[in-house]
Amino acid sequence: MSWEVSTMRCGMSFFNGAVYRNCLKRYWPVWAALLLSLILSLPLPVMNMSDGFDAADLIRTVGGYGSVVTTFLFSGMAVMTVFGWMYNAKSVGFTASLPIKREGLFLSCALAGFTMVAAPAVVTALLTLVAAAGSCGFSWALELTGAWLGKYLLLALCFFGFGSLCAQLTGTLWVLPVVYALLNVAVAGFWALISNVLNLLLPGFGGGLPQLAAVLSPVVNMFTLQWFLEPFPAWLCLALYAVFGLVCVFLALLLMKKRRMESATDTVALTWLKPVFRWVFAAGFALCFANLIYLILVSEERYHYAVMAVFLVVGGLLGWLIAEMLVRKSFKVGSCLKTYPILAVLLVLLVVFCAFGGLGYSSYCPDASQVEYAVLDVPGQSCTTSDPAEIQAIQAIHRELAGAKEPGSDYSTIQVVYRLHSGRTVTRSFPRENLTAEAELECRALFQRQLRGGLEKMLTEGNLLLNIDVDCYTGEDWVNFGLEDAESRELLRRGILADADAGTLELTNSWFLGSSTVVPGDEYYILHLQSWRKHASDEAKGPGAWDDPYDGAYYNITVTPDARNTWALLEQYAGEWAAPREDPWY
Amino acid sequence: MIEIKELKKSFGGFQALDGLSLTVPTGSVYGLVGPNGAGKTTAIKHLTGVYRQDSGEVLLDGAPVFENPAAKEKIAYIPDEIYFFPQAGIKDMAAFYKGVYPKFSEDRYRKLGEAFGLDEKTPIKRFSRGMQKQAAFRLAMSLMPEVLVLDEPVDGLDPVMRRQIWTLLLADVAERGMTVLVSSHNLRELEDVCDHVGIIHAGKTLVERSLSELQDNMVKVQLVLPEGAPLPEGLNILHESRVGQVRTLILRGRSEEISAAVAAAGPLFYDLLPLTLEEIFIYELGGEHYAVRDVLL
Repeated sequence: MSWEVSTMRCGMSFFNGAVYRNCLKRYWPVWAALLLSLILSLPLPVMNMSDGFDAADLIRTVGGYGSVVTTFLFSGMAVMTVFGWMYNAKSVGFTASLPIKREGLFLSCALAGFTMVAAPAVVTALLTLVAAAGSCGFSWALELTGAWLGKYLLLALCFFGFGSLCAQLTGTLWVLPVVYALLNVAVAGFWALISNVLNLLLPGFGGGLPQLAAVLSPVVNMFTLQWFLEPFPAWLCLALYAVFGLVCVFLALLLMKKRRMESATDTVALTWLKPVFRWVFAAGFALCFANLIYLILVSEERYHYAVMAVFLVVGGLLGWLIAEMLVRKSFKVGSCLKTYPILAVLLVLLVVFCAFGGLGYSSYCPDASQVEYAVLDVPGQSCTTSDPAEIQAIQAIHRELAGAKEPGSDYSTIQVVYRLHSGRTVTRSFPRENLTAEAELECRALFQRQLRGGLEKMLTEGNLLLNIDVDCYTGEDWVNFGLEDAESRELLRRGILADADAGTLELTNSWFLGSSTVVPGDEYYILHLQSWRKHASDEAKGPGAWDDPYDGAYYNITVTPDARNTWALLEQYAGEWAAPREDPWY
Repeated sequence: MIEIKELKKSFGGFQALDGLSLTVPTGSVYGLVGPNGAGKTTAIKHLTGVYRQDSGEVLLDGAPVFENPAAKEKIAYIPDEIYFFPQAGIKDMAAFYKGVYPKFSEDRYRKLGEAFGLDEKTPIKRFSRGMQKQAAFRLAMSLMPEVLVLDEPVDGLDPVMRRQIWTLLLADVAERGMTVLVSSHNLRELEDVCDHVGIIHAGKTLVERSLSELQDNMVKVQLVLPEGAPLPEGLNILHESRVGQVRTLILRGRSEEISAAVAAAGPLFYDLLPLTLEEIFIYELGGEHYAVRDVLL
C-alpha cells in the first residue's frame, strides 16, 4: 500500500472521527454519570450478595424497568448534547461550514450519542459478570448479564433513534426534551384525554388503552411488558422497537439532509410540520383544558354537553394562539385564526357525536348467535355465560343501561363484554347511575340464576372435589371449617340449594346487597365457599406450588334471615364443623 | 474563482437575496459592502455552505459549494460572531480542525502562535472579543485556505493588531494566491486593502468592479462659475451642493470627459478630486433611494 493511501484520511463520507471523538470528549459528564449510576445499581449491590437467587432477581429487575428508565433518560440527554449544535445560530454556522457532508455529520454525532449510552452498559455488564460469578456461577451470571445487556442495548437503540428523529423536528434546545418526552407518550396521552371526555359524555364508553395506542407509546408499553414472566414476547417486542429506532435514525438522516440550517431557534424546524404542530398542539390543549376546567367547575358529573363543548372550543382557541406564538416566536398572533374555526367545529362535533349516543355506539349489541360468551361485571361480582338465553338477558340489561342518562359522578361502573366467535371483543361500560329499577331487577335475577347454577356445580362434583372451605362470619368473628366428607357436603348442598331456589341467598359484596333482603342490624352469616378441584390427570402430583394445575370455585354468600334451610343447618352443625382442623397445605 | 449566479433566498416571507450575482477573481481581496440588511451575511453563509439556496448557483472553481466537502476544504470562514466549543482552548480547537481540514498546517499554527501570543490552554470563551478574533485568525490561517471569508473581521481589534492581521493576510494573498472576501462597514479600511468591491442592496448586486475602475467612474468636482452661468450640460450629476460660490458636484463618468465638459463651460475655478470608497458607497446607494435624509429634530 502506498504511503498516500495509508496516511490518507478516512474516505467514508458518513463518518468523521474528529466529530465523533469531540462529542465524546466534550460531553463526558453524560456517559460518566450513566456509568456511575449503572455501577451503583448493578455490580456493587451484586457483589454484596451471597445468595445467587437474590443477585439474579436484582439483575432481572434492573434489566427490566430500570433499563427502561435509564435508557429513556440518558438517550434523551445524549441526543440533546450531540445534536445541540443545531439549535444555535453561531454553532450552526460553525458546524455546517465544516467540510463534512450532512450524512457524515449526522452519523458521527449519532454514533457518538449511542456510544455514550451503550458503552457504559457494556462496561457495567462486564463488571456485573465478575461480581455475580461468585454467587451465581459463571454460566448463570453470563446468561443473566447477557440478557440484561441485550435488553438494554435494544432499548437504547429504540430511544436514541427516536430521540434523533425528535431532534430534527425542532430548532430549539429546550423544546427537544419536551418533544421527546411527549412523543414517547403522545398516543397514550391523547387517548387518555379523549377517553376522559368520552367517559363523561358517552354512555357505554369503555376507555381501556387499546393495544395499538400502547404500542405507539414506547415508554408506556415497555412498562406494561411482562419482563420476567414472558421473556420471549418481551425480546420480540424489544427487537421490534429496536428496528423502529433504526427506522427513526434513517428518517432523521433524511430530515437532516434537507434541514434548513436557518431554522435554528425555531420551535418547529420543518416548514411542513408547522401546521401539523398547530393542529395537534391546539387539539391537545383543548382536551387538557376542557378536562381540567370541567373537573373544577362541574366536578365529575356526566352529560353536560354544552358546557364541555364551550370548554373545548375555548381551550382549542387558547391552544391555537399559543401554538402560533411558539411558531412565530411572537405574541402578535391576532391574524392567525383563519383555519381555527375548522378545529372548533371538529371539537363541537365530538360533543355532538357523544350526545347522540356515538351514533349507536352505546346501545350496540352483537347478534346473540355471534357471541361466544358474555360477561356482566358489576362492582363486586361478575357473571360469565355462554348460555344463549343468559346472553340475551345480558343484552337486555345492556340496552336498559344504554337508554338511561342520569347525571351523576359515581365512578363505579357496570361493564358488559361480548366475546365474539370471530375473536373480536365488544366492551361497553356504564356508570352505576344508568341502572334503572327494571335493569336492576334483571341483574338480580341473572346473578341469582348464576349463583344457583354455580353452587349446584360446586357442590355436586364430589368425585373431583378435593376440599370445600367454609368461612363463616357470625357478625363478630370468623369461623372456618372444611367439608371433607360426602355426608356433610350433602347436608350443606341440600340446604343451600333449597335457599338459592327460594332466592334467600345473596352474593356478598354485590352492591345489590342491602336493597331488600338484609336489614342493617340483622344477624346474618356470610359464607365463603371455596372449592379446590384437582384435575384427574394430575392426581399423582399432590399439593404443592401455586402453579400446579388446580382450579376451583369461590362464592361469598350472604345467608339472610329468610334462608331458613342453610341457617338451620349452620346452627345445627357449626359447633362440630368449627372444630380446629389441620390445613393440609400450610 | 468564486461565482455567485442569480442567487435567491427567502426566510419565511422575507426575500433576503433576490438574484444576487458576484464574481470574485482568484487572488483578489474582495470587499462586499452594502447597507444593513442588504444580504451580505446571507450571501456569505451560502458561500460557506451553511445555507442551501432557493435558486441560483454558488460555485468555487466551477464546483458547487453546498454539500461539497472538496470545495469547503478550501474555504476558511470567520464570522462576525465566532463560535468556539465551550471550555475549549485554542489547542483543543486546533486538534479538532486537524481532524476535519486535511491541509491544516502544524508548522503555520506554531508560527502564528508567535505572532498572536495567546495562551493555548485557556478556554477561548474567557478571552476578550478582540482576543477571540485573534484566536479565530490563527486557526483559520492554519487551515491554509484558498479562500478566506471574513464577516466584519477586525471589529474589536486594536489598531496594531489590525495592521498585524492585514499584513499576514495580504502576505498570504501575495505568496499563495489566497482569495479574501471581506464584508465590512469599515469602508476606509477596505479601501486600503481591497482591489475589488461589490456593493449589494436589497439582495441584489448594485455594482461590482475593481476599486480603481470604481473610482475612475465617479468624480467629485469643485467649481466656481461666473455669476449667472449655468452648469455645463450633459453631465450625469449624482449629487450637488453649494457653499457660497463654490459648487461641489458628484458626477458619474470618466474623469477626462468630465474635465473637458467642465472646462468648456468657462469656470472661474475647477478641480477634479477622487472619491473615497465611502463616498462611492453613499452616492451609489443614493440612486437606490438609500440616501442620507435631512431630518430636523
